[in-house]
Amino acid sequence: MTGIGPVEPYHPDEADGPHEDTPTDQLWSNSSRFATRWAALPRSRRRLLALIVAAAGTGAFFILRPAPVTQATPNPYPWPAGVTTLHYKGRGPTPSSFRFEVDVARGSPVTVHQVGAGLPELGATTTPGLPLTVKAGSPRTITVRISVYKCAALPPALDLPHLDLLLSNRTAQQQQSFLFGGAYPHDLWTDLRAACFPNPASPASTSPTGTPASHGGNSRLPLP
Amino acid sequence: MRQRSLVILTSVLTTGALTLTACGSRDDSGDGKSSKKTEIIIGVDAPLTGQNSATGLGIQGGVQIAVDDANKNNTVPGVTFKVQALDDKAIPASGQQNATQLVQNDKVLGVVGPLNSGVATQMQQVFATANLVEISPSNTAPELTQGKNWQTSKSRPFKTYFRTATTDALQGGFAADYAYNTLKKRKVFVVDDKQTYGAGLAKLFKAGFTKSGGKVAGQDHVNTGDTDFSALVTKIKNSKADLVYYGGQYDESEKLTKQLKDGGAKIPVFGGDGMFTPTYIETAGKTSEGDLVTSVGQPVDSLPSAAEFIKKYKASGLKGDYGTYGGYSYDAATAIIKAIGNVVKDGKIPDGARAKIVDEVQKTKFDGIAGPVSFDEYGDTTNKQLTVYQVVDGKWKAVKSGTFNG
Repeated sequence: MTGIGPVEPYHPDEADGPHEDTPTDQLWSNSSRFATRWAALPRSRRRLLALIVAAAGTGAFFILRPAPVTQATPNPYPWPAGVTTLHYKGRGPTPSSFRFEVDVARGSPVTVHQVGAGLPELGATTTPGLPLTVKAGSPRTITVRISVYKCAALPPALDLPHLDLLLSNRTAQQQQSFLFGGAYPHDLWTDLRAACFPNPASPASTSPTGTPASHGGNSRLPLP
Repeated sequence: MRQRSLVILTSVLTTGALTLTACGSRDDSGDGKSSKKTEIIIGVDAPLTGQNSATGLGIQGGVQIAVDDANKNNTVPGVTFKVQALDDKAIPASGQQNATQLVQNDKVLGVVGPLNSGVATQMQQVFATANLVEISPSNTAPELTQGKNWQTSKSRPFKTYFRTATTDALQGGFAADYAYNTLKKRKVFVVDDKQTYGAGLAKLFKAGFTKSGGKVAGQDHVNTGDTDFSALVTKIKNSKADLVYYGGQYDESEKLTKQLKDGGAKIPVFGGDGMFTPTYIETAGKTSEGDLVTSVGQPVDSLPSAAEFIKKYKASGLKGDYGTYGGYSYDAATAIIKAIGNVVKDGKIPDGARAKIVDEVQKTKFDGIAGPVSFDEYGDTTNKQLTVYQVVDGKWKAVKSGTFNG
């Protein structure tokens, strides 16, 4: 367990420092004076006072007692991956770029420190640059530009493409993969094929050994 | 005189205390109505003995804590919740009998379970006929919510069925991606236990792994309850595979990995959430080191909301492994309890309550202890998080977490 604070409900009163002396404290610290005065009172007055004290105590109990808890305690310290979502919003303004919306559901702002393309053969750069801080309820759009380092090492197909984000908030820092179905895999794979397999006769599902020799090196190859 | 005064003072305080006590008693019993709270039962179906019982008991424990919390917090005024847990022994026919027993009890307004997808297939129709809501914390077979043809056209078969665990459609692909791209494994030997969950997960892993470019070096099946895997170990060794993928539960895989490593094959075993339990490591011992699983949800230690649940679980002395599905079971029970709270007012159960509770569960939305709880149009959880764990120094350690965003 790292960076996790107490999960019990926070009671501000307990952290406010020492309280002022209560009447009860005064009562017992001056007990002999009180006893003398009490004894001097007529019996009927003592009975009346006793009843008043009892009634006041009862009333105070019901007024000041804590209200029953009716709901589960909300998660006080959400970790960044638990509150952050990443939605694909379509192609970006330039080739090989893709737009994503980063949304934070609640809690303290989440900062995106790194974005990875999910495969060692791919690189990613973002606009705006990182780090990017996103406040709860105020989603931000980032554009991720994907580059290819080595076409020959690409898998023949992408089953579950994802982006790897390094996130942090007040509670913790986490590495989280965001996996995509739907349009992003299609758009990404279309661009990867165009970059690494420009000849339509070289189907993407075959081994990358048929790719141009210049694509098999380690130099970084931006997508078209 | 002073002594006499103190006696009087003591009498005053005693009178006050007695008054408070009397008021407290009246508050408990009220005007006679609150003492007659309506008893509502949350059913549990899971393997509580034999195969898979470590995780099954974790489900029962998670529900019990949720019910205890609801009663303590008076979450539904006028209602006292009880748990009725039935043992399905991981056998589909037993699950069906249990479902029949639960629907016949009018006090049962919701059920958590079962553990096994194969058992669920035999229970869904029974609950649907009785309009009784069922939330599984652990079923991962896609067809349970999305129909048999889920890969081509999704169709929800039962509106009474929900789950808080995400599906193998994601789990298998997530594992395949990790095996190929992170572990750099290229030849896998695939084993499954021929059950709905195990065979389905193995099939999805294999599809993802081969799609990525990996090869299947061999494939075989085991029976639940098998203990001697010597023939299988020989096959795996001869295949020259660099990874074993196992679709099934911990009961068999914990023995398989031990026999595999003892037999000289030093390759990791990779499985699904059915293997994700401390029992796997305890049984396999050091031979489990380096083995991997995917499991649903985020690591428990990244969920501050789960800390109090774990504390209660440990303090209560409940049996079973809470780490795999305990939190999801708590959230499943809480979803039912909240739905009941929207239907049952002042302890009065209206006509058609079960159907109304199903509708309320569909609208569920709250922050559970294992993450946000809500359901999509198929009854699947919208919380599609997965984690890869690896045995490191005798413990499951989270090595990668992912969220599916659709």
